[in-house]
Amino acid sequence: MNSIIIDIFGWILIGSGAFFVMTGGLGLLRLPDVYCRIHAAGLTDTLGAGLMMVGLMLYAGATLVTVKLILVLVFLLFTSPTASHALAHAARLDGVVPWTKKNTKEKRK
Amino acid sequence: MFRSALLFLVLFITWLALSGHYSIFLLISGVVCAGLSTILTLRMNKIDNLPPEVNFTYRLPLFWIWLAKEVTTSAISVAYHILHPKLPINPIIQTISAQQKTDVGLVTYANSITLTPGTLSTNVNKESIEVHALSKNFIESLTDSEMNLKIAKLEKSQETDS
Amino acid sequence: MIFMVASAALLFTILLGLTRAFAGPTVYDRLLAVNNMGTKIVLLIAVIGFLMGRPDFVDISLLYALLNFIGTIAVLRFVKQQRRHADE
Repeated sequence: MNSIIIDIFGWILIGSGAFFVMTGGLGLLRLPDVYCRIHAAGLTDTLGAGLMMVGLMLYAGATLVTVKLILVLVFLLFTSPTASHALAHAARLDGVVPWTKKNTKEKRK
Repeated sequence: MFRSALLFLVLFITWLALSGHYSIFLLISGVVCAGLSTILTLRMNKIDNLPPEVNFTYRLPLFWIWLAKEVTTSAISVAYHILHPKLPINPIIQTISAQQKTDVGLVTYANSITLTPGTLSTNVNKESIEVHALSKNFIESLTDSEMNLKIAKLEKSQETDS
Repeated sequence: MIFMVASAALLFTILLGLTRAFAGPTVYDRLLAVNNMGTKIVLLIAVIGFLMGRPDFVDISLLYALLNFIGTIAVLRFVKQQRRHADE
């Protein structure tokens, strides 16, 4: 009985985590410029990783593995915004022009 | 002194959590490693002249829970924007003011902005943060300055504690 | 079973990331794709650990998370420095 409950919640959590990871990957391909793609990458880093890790924690139960999973998650959540900010800042300093709706319309003319 | 003892304790607990084996040899090497790391950190503080000023208060976990809620809602919104066949995005860059006084507070604010999908801090100054947003409604949730106020409060509670 | 599905999804997304890393017009696109792939690999290693019934793999994914962050920052610094040299 207990394992069925874990299975149901595990399916929901890991499945939705996988959904967000795939959406982030799709956004990485679809969105028009670096800054927008960083938003898509953030989707993978926050909700995708978070939901998946919580799902894995359910399966691990109250063991040391759960502690390690929490460490991995906390580490990802602390470092990914730093890396994203460093990337965006470097791109901005380097003069990568942000994509806007006007830009594309002018180009098409 | 208290800080370095705390650091040593945290490092040693991390060692215990990561190793999972508790023989005497491994425990002693854990003590040695944690001690060495603490000494190195103290030396680095002397070079940097920047002692770590992080005080945890009861407000911090509450802020994390609020942030998690915020991240979830905006992540769902970003996912909708990406999956929509017409790609209804309209990226803008806007400068918003930051009320934080300390560096830690400013970093917390900038990182919280970046962590929330849909908004991204591209440049941080003393009093303002330049934000790139996927569309207008993402930046509206920032300009109502709820996050700004919350982190400023977090900072104040740290000051009164220390 | 769910672990199979999750690792398949992760592998497919890593493929998307690889496409972006090859196609990306600027260096920053490529770096972003590599950093993002790193995050997915961290997740993949953890999931595969559970799939194989050896949760000790989580140690490796912890290490990979550390390396991924430092690697991104290091390459970014390198790129910045090279740009500065090119300007002079």
